[in-house]
Amino acid sequence: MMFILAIAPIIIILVLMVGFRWKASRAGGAGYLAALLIAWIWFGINLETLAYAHAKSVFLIMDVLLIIWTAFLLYRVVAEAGGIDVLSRTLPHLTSDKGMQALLIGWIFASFLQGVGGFGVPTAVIAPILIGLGFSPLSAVVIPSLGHTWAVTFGSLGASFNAMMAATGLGWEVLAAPAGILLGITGLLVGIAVAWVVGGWKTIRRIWLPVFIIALGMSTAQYLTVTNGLWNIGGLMGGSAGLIIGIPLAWIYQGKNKSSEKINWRELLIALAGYGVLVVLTLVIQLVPGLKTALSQFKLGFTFPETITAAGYVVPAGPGRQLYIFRHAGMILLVSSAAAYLIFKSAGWYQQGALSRIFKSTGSRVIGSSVGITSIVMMAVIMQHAGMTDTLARGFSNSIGWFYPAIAPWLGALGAVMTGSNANSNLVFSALQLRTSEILELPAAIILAAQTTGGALGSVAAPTKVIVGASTAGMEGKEGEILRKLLPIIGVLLLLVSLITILWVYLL
Amino acid sequence: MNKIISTIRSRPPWFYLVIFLMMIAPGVLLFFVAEGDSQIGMTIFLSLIVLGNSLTAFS
Repeated sequence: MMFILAIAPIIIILVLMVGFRWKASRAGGAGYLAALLIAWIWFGINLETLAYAHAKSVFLIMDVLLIIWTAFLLYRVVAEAGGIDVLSRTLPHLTSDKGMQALLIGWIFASFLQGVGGFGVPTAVIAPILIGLGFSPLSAVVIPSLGHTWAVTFGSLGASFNAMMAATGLGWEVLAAPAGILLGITGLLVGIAVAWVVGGWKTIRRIWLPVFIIALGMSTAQYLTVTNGLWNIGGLMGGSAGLIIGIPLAWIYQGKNKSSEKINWRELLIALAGYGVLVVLTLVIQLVPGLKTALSQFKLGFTFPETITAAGYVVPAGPGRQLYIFRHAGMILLVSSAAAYLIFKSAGWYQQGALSRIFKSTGSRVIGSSVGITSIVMMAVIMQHAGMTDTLARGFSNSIGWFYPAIAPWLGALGAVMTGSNANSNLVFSALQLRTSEILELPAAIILAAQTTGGALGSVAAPTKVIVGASTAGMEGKEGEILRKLLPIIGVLLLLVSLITILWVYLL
Repeated sequence: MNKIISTIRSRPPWFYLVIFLMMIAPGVLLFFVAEGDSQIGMTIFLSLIVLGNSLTAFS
């Protein structure tokens, strides 16, 4: 009975979003209200615990939102200048081989776009390019949808990974390495999947070597970046490594019709300048001795007292999430956006009114999802403080037991499908996955890596993302057709991730 | 009145901005009223957050 009550807010969000097609902001509000009522009536949460839970959640929310807002701002600064158009125009000229085009644009460039932007941008930008190159609309949506999945967690300037750290209270030192490994393996798997979508086993046999080389390069770059504390640019560095490796490989695998068009390298470099500034700034803060400490002097956050519910569930006293404003990834992104704006402005790439359009489009794009994230995080923190998460974890550990590592990625995927994003899935399920792994005495970092990998894979099957993909490829109303092609592939990838997780937990 | 309701139902960006501030600002203030053990303060600020969520869910 208590298990059913504890899971009810999550089920409510799922039913409202999938069954009734409510937006995340709306469904999140309903989930919050359900969690509050259940915590109050059945789990004995009191007013004081609720007050502290809400105050704690505000810092978690701001930690996540600062990155989402500024990441999208930087993306708009570059897109408004035409930087994304330059990349989109340049890459197709490198090869006429269909398999290599799919790898270069639908896998590598999609991963790069996920690294810097996310929010459904990869599929929205790439589907029309692939259609222009002669791919069917269905393939044009499915290829980038699959191609960017492995870069979701460390993409969007690390928003999903940051959400996992915020929800669990664990640092990158614990979480980054297992997540980097599992997502790296997934990178290879989605590369193979992209080749399969283009032309089945025949294409895989023809281009398996570039797939392997590119996957190795992108995964290694992402792994090394995130395990050295630069988790906010992990996806960006992975995607950049892919471009550096993939462009020469595309020249080697040029196909029958060699392009005579020359690439404007100066234009390409200016287009990438905004992200170059971001990489340099991030490296400077991490590598210049004493700078990180100096920037850490100013922080926002509270220390919370112990709370206890009427049912006796205790949350120990301790500091909540601390916001180090001046070294926060959001601040680095804000400065990068300003620098990128000045570069594009001095190069004469903006038309009149650009600044106003950048802020307007950023504001209108992020504010709705910000409300959804606020409701969902508040719901998750109430569930934690009421002991509902603990009840769920105990229920899962009792019923699933040793097999739990195989279920962990599916739970992450379910969260992403129902909430529309890997970040939301991590906010809702990471604390539950952590608690379950503690009860079952499983390595929490590996279980959480499985959670976020599943979330990354599941996020592309979220109804909202499928609708975006369908609309940019002229497939409105044919979302079911896209899902029918996408879901079996995602299912196979999730099965492989389950298998790897269970082998990793028990055999390695 | 009808005009206000139809505007809210169309969910313009400012609607989300108001709701967002309605949830975040009381969230921070709840820490201080909880520290001061003010039952009335906690009730008022929690009500605002509940109202914000109700508006997003059911308006």
